[in-house]
Amino acid sequence: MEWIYFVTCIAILITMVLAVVRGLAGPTIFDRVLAVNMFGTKTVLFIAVISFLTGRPDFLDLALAYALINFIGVFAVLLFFQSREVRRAAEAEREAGK
Amino acid sequence: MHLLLDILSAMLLLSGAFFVFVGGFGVMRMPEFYTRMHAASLTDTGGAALILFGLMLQGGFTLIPLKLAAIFLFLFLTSPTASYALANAALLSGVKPACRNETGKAFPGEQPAKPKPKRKSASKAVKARKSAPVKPPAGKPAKRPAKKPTKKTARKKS
Repeated sequence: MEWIYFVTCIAILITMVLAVVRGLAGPTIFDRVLAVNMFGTKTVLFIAVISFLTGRPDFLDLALAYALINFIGVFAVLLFFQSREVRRAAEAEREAGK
Repeated sequence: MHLLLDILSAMLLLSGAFFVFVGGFGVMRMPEFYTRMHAASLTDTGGAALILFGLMLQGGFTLIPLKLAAIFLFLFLTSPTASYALANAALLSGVKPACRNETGKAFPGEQPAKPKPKRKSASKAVKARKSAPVKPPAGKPAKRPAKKPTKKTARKKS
């Protein structure tokens, strides 16, 4: 049964590496946010599988906490960038009005 | 019984690993933002649900499946919300969905409305339907959907 945990861990790790590559290469800021969101979700899964692989179920609490933090963090970043874009649009409209 | 549970959870875990890997590959390879989001949501829902259920079967009658269920419930509620907020923010700040042509003019919403083929005769409607799904694969330089080549393709098909 352990090798299945191991295979799952490897798959999740490869996906995390791919997400990091996308986050570094992403052309828009939203690609980066998407990559960070995906990385966080994969971290939750990874901690859950690792807790079974090493036989320490206490790690599941960490996974739960990480899921909460990830959600809040993505929303904070999104609100920041969205308000920035809205402010820019408003400024452009004001410039055009003059 | 234990063997059955092991086999079931192994299948769930391996298919979840497959989903996660395919989603990661899609995020790496897809051509533009919204398709990438589609791939990422694949890993967020399918991969997470399969892996967590597979682990839940291994937990036995303890607190572990309950914690896993809490994680699953939380991910299930938050990841669509995050995806929605992400797509909304991207659309509001002007990231447009991909177009078929590389000319960059033919977004589906912005295209000038073509006169629809009159459906008086059935054969014309069939021809229109056949000529409609001429979709060049993304990334290749697409020709303008002129009327002559579509008719040719329709003849070839028939």
